[in-house]
Parts: sequence; C-alpha cells; structure tokens
Amino acid sequence: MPGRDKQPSPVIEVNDLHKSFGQLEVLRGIDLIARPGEVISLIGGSGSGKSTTLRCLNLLETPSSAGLLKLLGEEVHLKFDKQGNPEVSDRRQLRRLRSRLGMVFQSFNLWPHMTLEQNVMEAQVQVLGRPKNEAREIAHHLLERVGLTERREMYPAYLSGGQQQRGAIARALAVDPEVMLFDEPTSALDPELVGEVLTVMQGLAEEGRTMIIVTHEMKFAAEVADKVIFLNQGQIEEQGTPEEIFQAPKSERLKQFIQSIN
Amino acid sequence: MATNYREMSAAELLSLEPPGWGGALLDGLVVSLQVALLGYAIGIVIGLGGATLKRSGGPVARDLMSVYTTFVRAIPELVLILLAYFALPELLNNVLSVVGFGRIEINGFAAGVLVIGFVQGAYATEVFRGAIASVPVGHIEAAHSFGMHPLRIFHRITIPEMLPAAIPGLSNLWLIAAKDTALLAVVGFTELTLAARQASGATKHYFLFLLAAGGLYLMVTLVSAQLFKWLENRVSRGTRYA
Repeated sequence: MPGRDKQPSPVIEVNDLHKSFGQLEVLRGIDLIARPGEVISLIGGSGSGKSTTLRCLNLLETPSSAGLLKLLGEEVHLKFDKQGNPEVSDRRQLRRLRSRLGMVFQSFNLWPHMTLEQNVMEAQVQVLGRPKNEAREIAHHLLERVGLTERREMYPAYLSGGQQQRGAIARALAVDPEVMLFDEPTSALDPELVGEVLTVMQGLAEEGRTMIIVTHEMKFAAEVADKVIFLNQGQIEEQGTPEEIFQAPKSERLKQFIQSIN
Repeated sequence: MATNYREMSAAELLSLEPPGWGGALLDGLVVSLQVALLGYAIGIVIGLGGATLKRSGGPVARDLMSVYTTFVRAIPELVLILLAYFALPELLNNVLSVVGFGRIEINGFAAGVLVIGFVQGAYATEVFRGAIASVPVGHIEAAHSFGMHPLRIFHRITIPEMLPAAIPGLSNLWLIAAKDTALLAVVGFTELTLAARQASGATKHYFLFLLAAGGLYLMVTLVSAQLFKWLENRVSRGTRYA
C-alpha cells in the first residue's frame, strides 16, 4: 500500500488493550495509534477508563493483555507471575522507553525535598547521565519558558498549584521526550490557575510535540487536539476530529456526555 | 600503698589523672559510645532492608521479619546479651570445630554491638516502614515515569522523602542504644556504667560516681537531641510548617 508509506510510523501503537483490577474490567479492548506531531485528547466520564488507558501507555499500569503494545517503534512484551499478575518481560527495555516519554500527573508529583530547579535536573542527571552544569542550564531554559525563573530555588510546597504543574511540565520536558502524556493536568487546580497551565500546553502543541492528553477541558481539547477519542465503559465509543466529536456526535452516549458538560 | 579516698575532694576524685577516677569514666564513655554507634549503624542497615522486605518482599520474607520482630519484642535485652556473650561463642565453636577451624571468642564489645544492632534493627524496621509508607505513591510513580532504576529511586527519592517522618523515631532509637550499652556491665565489659561502679566500689563514694555517670549519659542525650533537631530541620527543608 504505497499510500500508507507516506504517513510517518506511529510513536505509539496499541491494539486490543485490556486491563482488569480484580473482577472489574476497566479497559475492554482499546486500539490507539499516535503519530509524530499528533495531539490526541482522551475524553469521557469518570470511570470510563481514560486515565487507565494513558497510564498503560507508559506501563504505570500493566495491561492484563494486549494484542499489540508498541512504543517508539519497539514492541513491549508482557509475562505473568506465579499469581497470574501481568508484568513487563524486559524491565531494562521498559526503563529505556520510559526515559523517552514524559508524563504529567494530575497531582503534579514534584519531589518535595528538591527545589524546582533540582526537580527539573533530577532525571537529566540520574537517568540520562547529563553533567550537572548542562542539566542546570537546560533547567533554567525550561523554567524560563514556563515562566518560573524567579521560583527556581523554591521548594514545591511553597508554590501554587499552577506553578507546581508548570514546573512538572518543565521537569517532563527536560528529558526531551518524544511523547508527552498528560493525566488530567488541570483537574486539581483552582479555576483561576487552569489557564496558565493550558497556555503552556498549547505552546507545546503548536511547536509540533506529540501529546496525549486526558482532560475535562473540552474547549481546550477542541482547540488543540488533532484527534479526540471518547471512551465509555472501557471502550472507545467514538473518535474523530474535534469538529466531528463536538459538533456532530453520532452515538447517544457521546451526545449525552457533551450535553452534560455544557 | 592504699590511697586514702575518704579525705579526697570531689574534684580530686573526679580528676582525669590517678588517683582520680575521671579518666576511667571518660574511657568508659568513649567505649559506650563506640558500641552504641556501631550497633545503631547496624540497626539502621537492618531496618532499611527489613522495611523494604516487609513492604515488597515475598510471603516467606515477611514471615521471617515478623518472627524477628516478635523475638526482639519478647526477649529482654539482658537475656540477649547473656546469650551473645556466653551461649553464642559455644555454639559457634562447636560448629567451627566440626569444620576444623580454631576457637573464637566473642568479647563484650562484639556482644554489645551484635545485640544492640539486632535489637535496633527490629525497631528501626518499624520506624522506616511507617516513614516509607508516608511517601505518596505518585512521587515514586513520577520517578518511574522517567525510567529511573528502582535502586536509584530508593536512594534519591524514597529515602530523602521519608526522612522527615523517620528522624523522630530514629532519635529515640539512638538514645535507647546509648543507654542499652549499660547492660554490658553484667558481662564484665568496662563501659561507662561498670567504670562508675568500679570507681564507686574502690572509693566508697557511690553517690558521686554513679551521679557522674548519670550526668555523662544526660550530656550525651542533650547533645544528641540538638544534633537530631538540626538534622530534622535539614531534611525537612522542603516541608512547610515543619
């Protein structure tokens, strides 16, 4: 198929992803492809499995099974321990792949015993082995970019939620990730602090970064995303461009969902 | 030439040079602190390992750990010291003679370090287990999301983050370790308490020397408390309202 060759090969490719917590099956066969430069929004009600899907992409949750799990062109294989719990076969491969993915959490998860600057330097030095001077320079540059230059010597506990989240974005960017994963990055923020974080994310999207974003900010998803995926009860109910999803929803569930949030 | 202690002043009795007994007391203090420090260090290493096992080890490891902590809680330390000093060498030598090695001896110093380390290890396990549990899962996940090696996460994230919660418990354990060295007096090991008893027995100035020993223990406590306070402030730098 010559037409397919023109599309850049996907950075993330997932087929028939399942995840159960005990008896509860939260993901029931998810297919997802992310190509370089794409911005994908995962939306859906609470318990729809959108966060779990995202966390499966860097294996913070180990899928119960997957037809295919390909990250950055490498296939990740699962095995099962004696109790039948799934785990990643090759831990070294997993660490290598994770170091090329950036993750931003709902609750920021900055390390409280380090200053902002040290937070942004940590993975650069400890994982990538960059010299400290170089890591500090990169940290300065990134913190300037997210507007936190004056706060770089401060500890996270002394920063507002919006500042912490912008710092966490800088920390994730510091390892030059090929894909950025955002897990409800603005859900824990006071309403007046949401904008500053979304602005930073919009900037990243505009410079062509590959991003997968779990979010409740529908306006943001509509403006920034190339593709919107609507999850319902652990399955992809509908996906398409923001126009298709928000202006012309097909399924009843999605119509209800869009109505409920407006 | 018997020294006439009866007519000596307290200052003369406590002077560092004989016939004063101050030097002997200080030597005893130094030995006590050495035993306490070594035992404490061993206890911390056991505690870190034990806490990790209790949190993420297999069922066998966890059972072993609870047998260990139950033992330490149940058996008086004095009994453990007597065991380490009298019974353990016998046991070891029986084993060694079977394999064809010579005899070894466990002196008071070694017995003290062993027992204090063993006992402290059990309590430190609990201190560290609680402190590690206080570190939010998300902070560890964040480190994993960068592909950090688990050992590096333990060293760079878990340990420094749990220390503010662990220091008060560790401070208590240190004071207990320092005072537990006094139990070694029963096996004739000349640490501070036995030195004070010898001095008071020889001079018949019981009150003076036992009080002096008590004063030295108190000083150790006060200095340690300051050190731990400084340490707690240092490791809690990122914590608000600490």
